[in-house]
Amino acid sequence: MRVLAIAGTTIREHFRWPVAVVALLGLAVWMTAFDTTAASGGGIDVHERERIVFGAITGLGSMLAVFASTAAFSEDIRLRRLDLLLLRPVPPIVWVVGKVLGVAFGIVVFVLVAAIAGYSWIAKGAAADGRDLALFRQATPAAMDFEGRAVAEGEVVDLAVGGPPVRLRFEGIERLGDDGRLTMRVTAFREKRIALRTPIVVAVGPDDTNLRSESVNVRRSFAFGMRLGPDDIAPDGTCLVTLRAEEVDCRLLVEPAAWRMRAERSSHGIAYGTAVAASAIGLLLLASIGVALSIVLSAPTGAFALGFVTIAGFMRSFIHDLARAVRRQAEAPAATHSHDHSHGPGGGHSHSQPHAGADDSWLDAVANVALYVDAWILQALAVVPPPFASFQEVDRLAAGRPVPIAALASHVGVAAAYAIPALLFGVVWLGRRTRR
Amino acid sequence: MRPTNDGHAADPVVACRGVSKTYRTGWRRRSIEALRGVDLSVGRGEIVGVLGPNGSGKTTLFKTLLGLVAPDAGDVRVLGAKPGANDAKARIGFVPEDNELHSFLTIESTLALHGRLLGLDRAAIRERTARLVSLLHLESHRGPVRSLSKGTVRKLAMAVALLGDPDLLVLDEPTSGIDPLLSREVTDEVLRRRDAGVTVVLSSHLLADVERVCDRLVVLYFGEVICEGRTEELLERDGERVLRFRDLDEKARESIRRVAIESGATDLGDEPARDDLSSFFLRLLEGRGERR
Repeated sequence: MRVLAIAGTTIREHFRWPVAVVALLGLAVWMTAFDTTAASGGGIDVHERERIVFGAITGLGSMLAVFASTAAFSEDIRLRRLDLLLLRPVPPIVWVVGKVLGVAFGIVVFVLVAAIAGYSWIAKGAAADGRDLALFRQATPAAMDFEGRAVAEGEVVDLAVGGPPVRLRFEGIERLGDDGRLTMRVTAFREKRIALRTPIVVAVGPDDTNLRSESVNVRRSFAFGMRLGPDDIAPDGTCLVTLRAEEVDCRLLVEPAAWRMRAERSSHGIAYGTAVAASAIGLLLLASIGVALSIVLSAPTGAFALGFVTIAGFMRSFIHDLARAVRRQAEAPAATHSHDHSHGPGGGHSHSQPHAGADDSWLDAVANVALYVDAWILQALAVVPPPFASFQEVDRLAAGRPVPIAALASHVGVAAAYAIPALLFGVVWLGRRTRR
Repeated sequence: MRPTNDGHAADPVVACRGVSKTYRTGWRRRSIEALRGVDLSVGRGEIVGVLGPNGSGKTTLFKTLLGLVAPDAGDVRVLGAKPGANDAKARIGFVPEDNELHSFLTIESTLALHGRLLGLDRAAIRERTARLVSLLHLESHRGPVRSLSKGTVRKLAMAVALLGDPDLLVLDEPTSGIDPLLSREVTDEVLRRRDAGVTVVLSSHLLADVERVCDRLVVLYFGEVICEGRTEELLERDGERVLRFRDLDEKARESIRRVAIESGATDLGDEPARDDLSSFFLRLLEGRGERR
């Protein structure tokens, strides 16, 4: 009863209606601010929506968890309420558990609302039979060729306005069925810098005479997908994709991605639910650390400290991806090969053009430093594992990729290894307040 | 002057022996001696006023009694137990110096929260809430605490302190910032509790309130007890008497004065009897109806 009284008061204090309004508005803005038009086919990119929904849950949820939890005790201290409250015959552990439960309730409500709204939003872009709610049912390796040659990881191709298009032939399309979806990860560079948006024309078809084209804005390191119809696939199960620069010269880093297989809505629902649960667990553990911090730090200081660590965790993986892409781009002259082709009506093209490798050296240096720092952080985190790892599994889960239960359990365990000592520290420290 | 303390009971509710407390603050850990060898004993049903200028250690002494501050030296017993013990906590009511209540809760929900923290069941909370709200005239206040006047919040703080039917009330400036009418309501309630056998330790800078309710006074100065004794004894002036008359004419007054001087008394003056301002104010408003 006492623990519920504490939890109830915490909820009423930290999740008042302005917080709910801001969270819901933030959710709405977040979900509508991104362009989720599929790169091909004119429909909705369901996978993109999934990423946006879980971005909202993780991003907004983290903010909510950080601000609510770090104010849990610090507001009582700032407003000089704690002495009166500690005078009640309530053990410190009941105080800490009550506060954590209160903050957890608010977070769970937010996650559920966001998850339900997100699922409805995703489902709106799905086909009636639910096949658009895609899953990587099995990790089928990419079979993407530059005209029959296997594409190496991190292959770089150059596109010049007015120049010949790059031709890619994908194999094994027949395994997709009628409503297959082809994705590849493309990073666009413009004048040695990563481009924010680069318009390119993508054409898809069974051969050069039957290509349907569409202009696509390739964003930094965004996977884009194309929905293939039966007419796009040659009798031998291959599909031709050409990429052509529309407005400016650019270079593309094309990475093989798996074929996206379709799945039933029900099984996708399970994956979605698991991803929501994984998000919630990550947020709750973040909040429990915040509650412990709130006993010793003021709300702004605690929020800054916890927010900094959280953002640093996310930034680490972002910088890692960016640095890898930059380094590949800088190393492109060595990785690419030069040969001319003449293939049918599309004409010949050159896969690589001479690069000013020396000019890219600073990029290489920056990337190397970034990767070195990243490796150093990873090494440090190997000793002190981060509690936010479960967030990183959410994308995989949401996409339906298999994540072993043991891996999830390990992440939860690692996170708990942070949260439990933090809470114990909080209990002891709260008890010590009366022994100053 | 340190009068003999006749307030020591055989089984005191509050017993402090040689209590000292030093705070260390700042980067250089500067020492501030808040209490220096304080002795205090308060018997059951006694009201003891702790007086002293700001920074004299009153709040530290109270927090020591409540178990919120641990003394560096000395021994403290409250209700027969160490301060901070859960059994003792449930029998102590505390009105803090600041209004330390949740601003977003209403009067009823504030009392309900503290009732639940005290471990009371729903029926008991409902019954005590109704009783205290009526006793302290809080019925007409419906909004959250932040919308209440300062005086009403002090009364609510008093209600929170009384919720557990405590055996010991610790009141840190319970009447600060409120008008004499509300102050009278609060001090009247303190007196009623004293009559019911509750022990009260209070501090206030409003000396008229202290004089009115306290059986005994303890004066702290820079952490030391410099004076302690029964209120009326401390306020007596050695060798002086006050004779009070009404409708005394000029001739009779001169006769009395002459007789007194002839018998060896020193003439200290003669002036009309006066109320103190607080009594005048209360008398002025008396009978004008209850204020909400």
